[in-house]
Amino acid sequence: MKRGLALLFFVGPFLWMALTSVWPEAQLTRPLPEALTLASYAGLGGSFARAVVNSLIVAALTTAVCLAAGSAAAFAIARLPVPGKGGLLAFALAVSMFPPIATVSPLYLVLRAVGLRDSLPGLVLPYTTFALPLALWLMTSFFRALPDELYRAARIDGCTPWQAYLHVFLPLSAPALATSAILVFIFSWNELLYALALISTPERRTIPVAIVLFAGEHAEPWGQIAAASMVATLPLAALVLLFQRRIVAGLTAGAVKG
Amino acid sequence: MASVTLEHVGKSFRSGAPALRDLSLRIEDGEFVSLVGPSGCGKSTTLNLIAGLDEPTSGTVRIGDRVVNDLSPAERDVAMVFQSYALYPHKDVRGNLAFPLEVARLSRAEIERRVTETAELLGIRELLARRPRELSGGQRQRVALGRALVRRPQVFLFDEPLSNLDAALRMEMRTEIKSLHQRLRRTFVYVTHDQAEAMTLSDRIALLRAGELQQVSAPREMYLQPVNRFVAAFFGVPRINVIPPSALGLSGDGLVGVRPEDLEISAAAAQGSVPATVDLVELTGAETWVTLSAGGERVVGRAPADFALEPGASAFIRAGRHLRFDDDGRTIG
Repeated sequence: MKRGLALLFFVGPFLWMALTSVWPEAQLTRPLPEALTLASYAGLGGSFARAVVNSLIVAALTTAVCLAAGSAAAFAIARLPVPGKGGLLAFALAVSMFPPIATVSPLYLVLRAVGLRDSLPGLVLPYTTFALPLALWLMTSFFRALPDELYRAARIDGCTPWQAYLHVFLPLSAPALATSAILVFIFSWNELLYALALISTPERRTIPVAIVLFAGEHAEPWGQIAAASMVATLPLAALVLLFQRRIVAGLTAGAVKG
Repeated sequence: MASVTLEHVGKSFRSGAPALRDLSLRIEDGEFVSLVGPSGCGKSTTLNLIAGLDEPTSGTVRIGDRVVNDLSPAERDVAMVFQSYALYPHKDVRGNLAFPLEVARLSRAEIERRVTETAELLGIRELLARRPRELSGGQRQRVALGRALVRRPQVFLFDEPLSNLDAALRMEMRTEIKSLHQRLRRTFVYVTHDQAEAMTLSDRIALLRAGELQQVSAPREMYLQPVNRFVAAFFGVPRINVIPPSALGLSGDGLVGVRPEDLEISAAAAQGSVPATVDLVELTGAETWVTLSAGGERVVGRAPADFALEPGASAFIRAGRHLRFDDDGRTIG
């Protein structure tokens, strides 16, 4: 009984959304429809497909940049004698704590000045700024948890710090990389505020912007909004399920006596 | 030639007392030297300085004729075996052995040849395709040893390599390391806190305490002629008895040190003996350790396995060979 309630609590809204997406628009207020339909999905059209592609590009790029920069920086902070690295971590955290709304207008001016306003790279840049600290913190604590002797062994075996990162630490950090990837991807995928403020060309809209603007252009196309939300959510669910298998404990088992 | 020379080496970390103070030590080419001492004495720090994993605050480190202070570990031609083995968990045994050679950019054929040769030498050929997590502790240690051997370095460094193994396996690996040294005749520097390990393996032992070198000697000399009370107490099981001379009927001031095997225990009085009471009798198999009290002091003696006296019995003890320490703990005779 308790479990059923909990399940309903978590899955209920999603189920409702799924049902709304296949419910005929005109019969939304009825307890039961005459028939289920995929009309809402069909009505999404090419412009929404474009938004999906845009979101994929922005989220994938942001994730790639965050993982590459984040894991390298985290390795340096965790293993190398970087002066003031504690302060660096705190500073990174402070950056991500900034209320996004406070930075929208200055960011708008800056991006316009460098010619990146209303472009997809112009979204990747601020997204990276906000998501990088998260990746940095996650990766740093992961690298710190790896045994110090592993790094010393790599150095003795002739590695430069960079080679030790590339050949030993990076291959071992798959679980942390996967976790960071999921979180950064979800953040960029769902981000609305910057995308709404910085993108004006319809062809460059991302999914959240597209969904928000459904309501503005027509009346209240609930069916389409639900269908679009489904399309937006499913890749995330797939991503999490895919990476879940990579987040295996015990990948480092055998490195030290355990 | 690959002697290792430390000249007036000091090492301080940001917090706390210096880890090493003015350490000078020369390890000859092909010599097996153990660095021993209680934890925190600076023995691992010394090893890291030789390896290039850490930089000395002062002084010079030489390998052969080269000053290596500013060289990276890769440029020093040293290999190291770690206490936790530190095998790469994502590589199989072959990958672990090949890694240092790959980093050094050796040819495929040469890598294959050396890996096979090393695996055969250590009897781990059938393990080559396994991952570290599929190996037992002893097998992991063999692989770690192999990863050091495969590079054929001038100097081998060991950082408490046997501490994680159980007693039986430790003995076996100890023998193996010893015979390896005899076969290779390379310079071995071996850190351990186990005095028995240092005794059995080394040509010479260096004993450190709180960052200061106490004594460097061959094992036997270390045992028979310790320079101070600390050195005397560090080696030997059971520990040397350090007591006022009067308790054993000896004259003089300061303290005397009597090894348990130099304490003669008998049921009847003899010339120069003092009365004592047997407190505890521990049979270890080959011999018996007897704890007695005499003149208000506790002493431990070594007796044959057939030692007959029971706890509570009266006995007589006499100090045979003994050392004398002054008030600062220095050996004076």
